[in-house]
Amino acid sequence: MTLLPATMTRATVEAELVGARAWAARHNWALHWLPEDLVLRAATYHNPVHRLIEVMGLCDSYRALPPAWRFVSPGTDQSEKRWFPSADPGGLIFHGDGVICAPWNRLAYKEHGGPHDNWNGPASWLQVPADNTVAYTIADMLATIDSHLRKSTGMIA
Amino acid sequence: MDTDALPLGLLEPDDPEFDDTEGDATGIADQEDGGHHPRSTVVLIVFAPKELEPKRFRFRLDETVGDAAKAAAKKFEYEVGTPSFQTKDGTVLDRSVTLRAAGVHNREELELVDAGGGV
Repeated sequence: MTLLPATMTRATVEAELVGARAWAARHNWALHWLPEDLVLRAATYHNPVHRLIEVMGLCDSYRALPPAWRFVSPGTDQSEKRWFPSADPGGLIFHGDGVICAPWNRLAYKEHGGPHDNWNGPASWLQVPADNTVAYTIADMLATIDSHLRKSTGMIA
Repeated sequence: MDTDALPLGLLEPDDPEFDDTEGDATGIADQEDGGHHPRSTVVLIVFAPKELEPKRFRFRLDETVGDAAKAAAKKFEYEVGTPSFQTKDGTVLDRSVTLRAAGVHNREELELVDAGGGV
């Protein structure tokens, strides 16, 4: 479902990428923006498993919809559990079924295969009650992924 | 300099500690102000993921991490969430402890991060 023209989405993402790139430089992430595909790829090193890890965000219709974030095999579009970081028991956003479970991930919503049917759909992502993880910009989403990744001790498979 | 008399919160460019580098390398200013009095406040250089430039804040060392992070977050126009500070080594500070107990030092660079749990 496309709600916004690609040109509008591209301009929105690129405006946010200024801050996101500065954040990435401070935290050892590499960002790669693919403007034609409206895809942002972000990679870093996952120390517990001595492995490069990459998260891919499909940003079509952003900010009418949140990006669709998923961990992929670095350099590919393949999403498998062995490329997904494990969660600690403390309630991280990395779920055992391979979903980044947060209101700012389109794939967390039931309509897109995720577990949540209680957030009124992805078009309401900015109105989800802020009693859990909150991130309203791409940089804040990446920072949240980063902070949870640092608590992750491995991969789920 | 008696840092107790200086205003708390967001530092303005004319603040005497705005560009002060006294504590960067030696750590002396971690514990004392320029007059060798124990510090009761600390200047933190806070980055927000969405912004290019950091902001500088002065907080009381007996203020909790959560309260300080919330005050900083507001200046970066984060109105909701559960903000905390992340150190350069990636540690997210416990929001319930004081800045002193968290071990922050003067002019430490910290990143604002949302510490809300998973769902």
